[in-house]
Amino acid sequence: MKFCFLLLFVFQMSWAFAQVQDDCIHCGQMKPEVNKNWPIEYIKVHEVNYKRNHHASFCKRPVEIIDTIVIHHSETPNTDSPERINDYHLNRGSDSDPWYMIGYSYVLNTPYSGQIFPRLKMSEGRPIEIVGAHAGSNAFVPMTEEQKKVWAKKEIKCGKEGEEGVFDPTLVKDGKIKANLSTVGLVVVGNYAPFSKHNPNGYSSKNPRYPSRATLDSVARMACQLQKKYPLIKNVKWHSYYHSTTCPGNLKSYIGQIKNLARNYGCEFN
Amino acid sequence: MRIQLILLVALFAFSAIASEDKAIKDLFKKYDQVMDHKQTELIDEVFTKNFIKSSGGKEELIQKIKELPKVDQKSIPKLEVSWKKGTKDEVYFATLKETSNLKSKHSESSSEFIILKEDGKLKINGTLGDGN
Repeated sequence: MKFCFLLLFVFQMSWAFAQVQDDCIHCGQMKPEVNKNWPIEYIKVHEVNYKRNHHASFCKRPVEIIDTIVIHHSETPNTDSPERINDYHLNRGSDSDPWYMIGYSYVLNTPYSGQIFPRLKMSEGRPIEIVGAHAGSNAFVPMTEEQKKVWAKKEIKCGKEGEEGVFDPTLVKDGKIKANLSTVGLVVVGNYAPFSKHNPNGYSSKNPRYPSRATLDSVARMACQLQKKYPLIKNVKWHSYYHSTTCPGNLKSYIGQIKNLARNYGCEFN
Repeated sequence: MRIQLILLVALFAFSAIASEDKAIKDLFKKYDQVMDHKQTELIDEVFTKNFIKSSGGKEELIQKIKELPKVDQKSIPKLEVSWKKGTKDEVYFATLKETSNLKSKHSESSSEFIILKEDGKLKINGTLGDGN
């Protein structure tokens, strides 16, 4: 009987270890060999079968218009699943302007530094070809020459599922492009800002929350994976770069470290 | 007859919205009492069980509230609450706008409060990062 329990324990431990390995392709290797042939998989991105609001409009974009990854924190508990965030976002819109699905394109579940739960897992969010809803609908940024060329082709179409979609000229204003159109949102699930009246999910001064090395490394892997696939992605920014917000909490001060870690995988970010 | 029916439906809808509005405003009055005046005995009436659990339990939440800097009675900002109901589920999103008594300055919280019904009462289940 005892032997059976022991066998079961060993089996479970090896399964758990295999799961961790499964998510972290080059765990422990800070300088992996760069595979010159696509697909490069520095981190496994799990598929999620999201509910979508079929009555909501969205815009499809050529991915060549994306030049920046924007880091967020969800502000929710770090145990929240991508599906739960999707549920919130589906509920968030109004009847006149409903949300299509989760606003971010990538969702990282990860423990805070010094903790072991939840298990580190990168999930896909809104498909990258669909314009995100994360940087702020009033945020516009200067256009690069490449973006001007893509924009001139008028290939960005907006509409509902099953519709052909129409070109929306309001996505560019006074020579500036809507940040949601030119960026991709990556959210680290959790709350990395201090507790306050406006942030009751925040951390106490006695127990501050920091991202772990594995969290930063996972963001760097994802950023690099995206740059290898879409070489025009050259920047890593953070939400409050675009407008006044506490998001992404203290993750903002780790952006430089994320860029340094991405260099280990052969990527350069501004 | 049809007009009467429409008026009746409109009246019901209006009274439902008015009662939700009152419930949310009452909730945030209690929230003020908890956060500004440290009336932590109201925690169970203000936050969902799930929120309290994810905050590390009641004791840790109380500790966090007590750690908040004491606010001078005169400078406690008045809160204007605006809210909307979720488009699909029984969830509400509220935004707080502060009006300082001293400077009559307006500042808006960038977060949205998630409000759920628990045991028939509206309670705060945390916040959701802004962005759209």
